[in-house]
Amino acid sequence: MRCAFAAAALSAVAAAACAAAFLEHARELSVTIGDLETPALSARAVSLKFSGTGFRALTLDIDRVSMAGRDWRKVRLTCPDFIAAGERITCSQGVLHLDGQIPVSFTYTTGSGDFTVELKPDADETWRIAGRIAGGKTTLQVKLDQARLTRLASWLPPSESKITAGRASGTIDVQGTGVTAHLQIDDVAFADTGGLHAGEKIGGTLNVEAAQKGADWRWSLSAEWRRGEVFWQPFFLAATGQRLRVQGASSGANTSFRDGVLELQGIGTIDFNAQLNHSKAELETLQVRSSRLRVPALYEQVLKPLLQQTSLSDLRTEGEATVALTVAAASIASVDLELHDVSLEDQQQRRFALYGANGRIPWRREAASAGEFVFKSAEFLKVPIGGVRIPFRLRSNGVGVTSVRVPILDGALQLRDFAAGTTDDGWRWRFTGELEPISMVQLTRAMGMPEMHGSLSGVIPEVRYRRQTLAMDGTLVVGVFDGMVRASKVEFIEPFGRAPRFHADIDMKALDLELLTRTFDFGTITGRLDARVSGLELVDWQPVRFDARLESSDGNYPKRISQRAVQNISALGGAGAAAAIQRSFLRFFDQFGYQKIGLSCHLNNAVCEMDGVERAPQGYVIVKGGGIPAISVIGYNRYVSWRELVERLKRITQENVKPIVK
Amino acid sequence: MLHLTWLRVAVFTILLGATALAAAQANLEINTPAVAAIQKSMQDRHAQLLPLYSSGAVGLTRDGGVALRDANAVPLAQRAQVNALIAAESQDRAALYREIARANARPEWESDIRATFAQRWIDKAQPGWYYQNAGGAWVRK
Repeated sequence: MRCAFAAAALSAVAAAACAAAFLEHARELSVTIGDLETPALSARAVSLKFSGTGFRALTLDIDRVSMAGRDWRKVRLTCPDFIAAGERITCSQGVLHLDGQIPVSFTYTTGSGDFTVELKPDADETWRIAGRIAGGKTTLQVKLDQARLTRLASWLPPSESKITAGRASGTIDVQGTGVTAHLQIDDVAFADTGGLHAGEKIGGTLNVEAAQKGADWRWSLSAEWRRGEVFWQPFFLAATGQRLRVQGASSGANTSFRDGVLELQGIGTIDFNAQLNHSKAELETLQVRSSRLRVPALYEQVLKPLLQQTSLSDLRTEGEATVALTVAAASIASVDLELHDVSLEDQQQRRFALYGANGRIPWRREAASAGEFVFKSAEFLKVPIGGVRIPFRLRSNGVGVTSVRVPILDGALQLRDFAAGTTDDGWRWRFTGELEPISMVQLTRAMGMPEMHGSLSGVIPEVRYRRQTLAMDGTLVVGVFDGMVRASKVEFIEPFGRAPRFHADIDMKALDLELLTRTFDFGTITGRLDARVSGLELVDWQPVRFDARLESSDGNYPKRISQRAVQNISALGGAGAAAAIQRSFLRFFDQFGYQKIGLSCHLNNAVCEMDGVERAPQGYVIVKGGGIPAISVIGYNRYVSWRELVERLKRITQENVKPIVK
Repeated sequence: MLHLTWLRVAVFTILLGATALAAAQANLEINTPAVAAIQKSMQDRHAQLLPLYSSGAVGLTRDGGVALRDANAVPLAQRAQVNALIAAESQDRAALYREIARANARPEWESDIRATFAQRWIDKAQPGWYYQNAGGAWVRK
């Protein structure tokens, strides 16, 4: 026996419990309700079936349920112990067939509109919803116990990132138009398709209060992040108990954030206000101001993962910094950075260090400003640098410094008219300056090089950097080994690239050979040396091409060469390039006189074409004897592989080979 | 008509030069200190990139570079480092093509050298690695 009841469009779910005519002797009772429409929910082709003893077995079939933009098809609720007694309907052992079978129990009182629904999709998972359906006074309390967040994934607004795991426990209260939620979440994972925004094992607490006023929502939120980690290109952050508090208002068009406070444990706090435009998905305005942030924690937790594979990836840091930033019309309008006794040290390699830095860097997009940067001391390539005060002018795309003196050891580098800026083809900068004499002994000692005598000084003509090329106009003059070194046509291409190229002409005049040879442990030569290296080209600091000529300077001065230096020069000439040394002669003297020394190398294609002072039968004269006792060294190899030559030099100067006199 | 004769000779010479140029091929195996320095740097990095190629996190691009394909294959804490590795490798590869062109004394050949290398990397890739096809889509070898 069938009983059909059709209702085209009932106004509320409650109406589903409407009258159903049945006959006492029937075994099965079917009620076709048809379609249900409410503002929040619609159900198509709803039908009820009562069967079993006393019609206590309920089967509810709905062809399609639509709620909050989501559809389910062929939804079925079965309930073997359905009781409808007076106003009260109960079902304690129901099963909801919806993406699997979910145990469900519910009660409903028709008079008061009170209801409870409890879903247990998994053994340890409960969704309990209790409330009263009463129009504008509808109340709802949702209690979650280990609720799987993935079940909510399709309810969330579409976005790049998807929740792939996670549980929530806690309560959500709805009172009229107000919502209060206290949730604890755990093991949350989310990721976008490219993996550039992702989080894993996230745990923490979330408290939200929200109320609807007209079309707008006003809300406040507080959250604490206790576990897990997040990668948000390019940042990687791990939970340390960070806390966020913020209030706001959301409408369809935008969301404003007020009185936001982000507490970063161990680092400091950041206050913010912002306005987000939903349709453009951009921040229209933002004001951020930090407290004094502790630099070591900021570096370890936030900056270090960003700086992998750079020279800043292994720093020991100290000090505090404050940052303020504003965004207006969706672009950065100002940045203010203040440093308070900040120190940085390259830990392992010790390439650089900066101690006691203080400063104020106020950048404005629309205006020029003045700032200052001061540090107590520094170190670069192990060379100590003294305290410096740098006043500077900032423009939107550049910086200028009129004059700054950088003390280096006992001298200083004086920089003038420094200007830097960005253009379409990258960074550009320029400066002029001069070097106040720096002791070469101290400098070479600090850099761990063979100790050299003399001093480094000179005028630095204009130095320019643009299109990844550093170029110097004019001549850099360095006083070293009691002589002068002049470098001109200096050009440095891609100095910060993988294979920097260096071009220059270098002219050395009257270097003291005794200082020079003593420095490089070459044996002793007394006298003066001129050297000219033209067309020098270094790639990755390896010589590729040059035309070099070393020659004893003209003039009258003592010209002596030690036995060891003779041996070394001969060795440099290569095997078979035996010096025209009267070997028996050598034995008796430590020192010899010479008239001229000269050696040239034209390097091309990794081969050095060598020559000397003058030609000799089958060779060239490197040392031309003079005085008593005189000695000459003749080279026979005209073409020597550059690598071989460098090896020989290394053997001579580094391994400190003792000359063997036969 | 000395001028005309001269002109003919000049044009002939230029044409001859152009033919010779077209017939010339870039020496891709050329070794200079710059090329050696870049290759060394790339070799040092290769061990770190290898597992990323195998997992599909990083793929070979059609323009002879490398790019992040799917960071989800990399543990979160290492993703920033993967970005840094890719940036460094891309920089080295670009420098390599530029240096080979320079070493051949043909800086204008850079893009052809890049294209040739792009195909070489793909040919040399191990099965399972990802590369971009001509349309820019990722393909598993």
